[in-house]
Amino acid sequence: MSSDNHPALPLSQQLEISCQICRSQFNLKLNTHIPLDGVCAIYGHSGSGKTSLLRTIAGLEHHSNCEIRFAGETWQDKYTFVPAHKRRIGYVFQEASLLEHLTVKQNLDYAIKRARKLNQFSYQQVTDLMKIEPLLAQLPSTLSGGEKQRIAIARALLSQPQLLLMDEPLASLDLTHKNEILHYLEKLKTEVDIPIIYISHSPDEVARLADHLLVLDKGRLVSDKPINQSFELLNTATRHINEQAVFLQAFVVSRLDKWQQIKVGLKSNQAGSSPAYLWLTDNGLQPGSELRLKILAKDVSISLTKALDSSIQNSLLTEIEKIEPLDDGMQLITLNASGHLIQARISNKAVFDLKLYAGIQVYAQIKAAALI
Amino acid sequence: MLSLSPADYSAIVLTLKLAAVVTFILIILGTPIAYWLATSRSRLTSVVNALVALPLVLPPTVLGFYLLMAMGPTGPIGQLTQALNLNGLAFTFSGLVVGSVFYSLPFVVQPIKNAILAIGQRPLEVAATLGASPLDRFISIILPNAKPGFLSAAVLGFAHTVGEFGVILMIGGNIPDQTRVVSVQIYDHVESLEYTQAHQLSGLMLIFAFVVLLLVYQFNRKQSQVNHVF
Amino acid sequence: MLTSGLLLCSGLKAEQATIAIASNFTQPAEQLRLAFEQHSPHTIRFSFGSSGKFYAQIRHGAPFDAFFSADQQKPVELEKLSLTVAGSRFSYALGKLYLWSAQPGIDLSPKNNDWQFATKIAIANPKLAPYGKAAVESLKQLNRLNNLKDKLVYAENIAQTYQFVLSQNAQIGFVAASQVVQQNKGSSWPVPDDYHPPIKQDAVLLKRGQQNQAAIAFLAFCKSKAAAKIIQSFGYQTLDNH
Repeated sequence: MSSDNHPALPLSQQLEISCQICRSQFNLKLNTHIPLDGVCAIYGHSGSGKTSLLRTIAGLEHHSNCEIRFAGETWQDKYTFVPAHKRRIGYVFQEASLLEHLTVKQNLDYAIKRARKLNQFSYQQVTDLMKIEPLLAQLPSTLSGGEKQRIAIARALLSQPQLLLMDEPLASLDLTHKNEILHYLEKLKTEVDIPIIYISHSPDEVARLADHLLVLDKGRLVSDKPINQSFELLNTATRHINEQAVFLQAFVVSRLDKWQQIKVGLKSNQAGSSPAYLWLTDNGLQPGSELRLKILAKDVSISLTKALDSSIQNSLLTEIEKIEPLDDGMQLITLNASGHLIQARISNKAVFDLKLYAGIQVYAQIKAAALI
Repeated sequence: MLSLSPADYSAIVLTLKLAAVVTFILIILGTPIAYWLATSRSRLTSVVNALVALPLVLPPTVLGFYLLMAMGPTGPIGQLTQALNLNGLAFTFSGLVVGSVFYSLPFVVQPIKNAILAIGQRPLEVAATLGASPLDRFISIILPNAKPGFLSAAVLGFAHTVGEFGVILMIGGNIPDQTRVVSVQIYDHVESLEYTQAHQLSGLMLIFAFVVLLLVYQFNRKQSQVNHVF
Repeated sequence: MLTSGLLLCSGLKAEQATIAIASNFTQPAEQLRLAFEQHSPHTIRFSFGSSGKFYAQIRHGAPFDAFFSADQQKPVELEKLSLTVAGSRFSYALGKLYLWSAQPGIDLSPKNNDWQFATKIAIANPKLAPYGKAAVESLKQLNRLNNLKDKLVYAENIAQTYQFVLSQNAQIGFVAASQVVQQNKGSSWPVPDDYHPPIKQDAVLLKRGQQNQAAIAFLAFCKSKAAAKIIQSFGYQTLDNH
């Protein structure tokens, strides 16, 4: 797949990659331009070659059939190989990778001493952002996984990189720490101006953080688009992990302070679609703000009539697009709510009893929509 | 209790001096070799690994014999010293140093290499992404983390040089204060039937070797969570 | 046929002897064994090594029936310890000393050469080897010991002395005639026998072998004219007890 999807960017805002990496598990072949703006996620299953790609960008792996140009500057081609320590990158590894023989403070100092001569991020800004002030005197072995990752991110920032590479920084963390770090990553994204390449095999993380999405499958680039054009792909991706869900781009329409609710409108790319609205718990966002929603298929039920006596507030009139059997006695029903696709996970029996088939109109009752 | 002769004392002093000089050179020389062996992916590593390990399996007399031949005026080392306008290395202290460096090399390279391997690639990669050059990585990551390996290497290199015999016998020439080290002195005592003196020096060697190994193993036991040297 | 005939006629039982031989006598010993076994029902097994080690091993009960030392001292010491059969000791060979250089075409005789061209002179350790002792005596005799003392390097035995000179790490060295004769290269000067006390190599029958007919017969054979011829062919001299 070519990079025609974002042709307008000047060279100075692109990371050009043309790569061929042969391994026993995969055969990575890739030719694209990654926009150096916001978060570009590279999504793929393990064995798709995404870590090798990131390490090649960093200069940690040297494959001869690769060319990499960062903002017009050649990092690697047939004749050039800029070693990792001379590329202006920060790298956050999957597992915590603090230098064990140094304290937290010394780990940060290690980066500061060798920092590139740019002062984009001040020590204060970074330690505040990652809230690591209280940990400074400790040795890495005394820290939790989440704390270690926060420090690793801070350390990467303090080396004053021009590009931040993150290789599944959440993968080795438990759920609590995952959410904690996700929160910090979002702060990082909004408060720090640095292009980030983020590797993940979690559709959630990608939907939450990415501005641009590259999808790798068995070493092939199968999608290379801005995130708002990639949700459908992520929706299919969720099916592989048996937690079917859809991701939706939305905006705040109005606030109902009395009930602590906000009204959000779903954005659609489809022409001629009329707006659809949902009520959500107030999260402090002001009208006009954008947000991303995730609706799990198991949180959506179907009713043939509009239920006026239900506690479920969000009910949308939809048309059944297709019904697919899942392998556990359930069926996945794709619903079209005036241009917005939602999925519902319904038992075989319910599909039979309600006589559901593609083309009929039903009400989708949405129990919960998570802000992500 | 001990009734060592002046010749015995001189042999002891010479041996310690030889071991100290050799250990110093071995650490300087062995460290880059060990580093390269531990980090390079070159096919040459197996060749170098095998070369370094040769003294472990070769009888010292073989090594000594070839060194003697090499140091002669027609041998490669001899040609080199002649080209540099130096005297021949055979039968000199410098010659013993050269021979001992070859002979004890694996005892120094092995522990350092293992210690570097135990550190793993990750900290080195981390350092590289933080802007550390290879030399910087060596000083800031490898040296502090491989300290126990270096200590083992130094102790083993020293002890092995003290215990060296076959090579020195071949290239030494048994010259007092220059090449007559303790092991050769013991051999002379045994061969000339001076068993009492042989006993005394041998006993000293035995105690020395035991104490050294005891220290190394105890130290390694304490460090065993950090890395394995053996 | 001959062997079995002898066996039947003499009523002897074929026996086997294990004999310790100083390394420098390896080749003549093999020849002697071949010659001996042609006319004897007995078989001989050799063990080659340094005389000093054999001495230590024999003192501690090593299973040797006879011992061919590279010197006279060790058999004498064993005799004093009553580990030998009284009266069995004899000098099986006299060593001949040569001054030798690996470089051909040099006149090494002291008349024409002061040996100062050599930076190192190899001799066997006089403390350990009779050849070394003889070399020192010869240097004394020529009044050259003090002049050349600082050039001396000591080998542990006469074989190593030869190696030092062969590799030219030492330019000249006092080696055994047997080595010069067998290798036949370089330049040499035979040291006159009267420059040093004779280099006697003694053999002795050990207590363990006093009943061993093979050992007794082999020692007897080594005193024969035939044996003397073999020994001399390797550059040794023999006493007239042959």
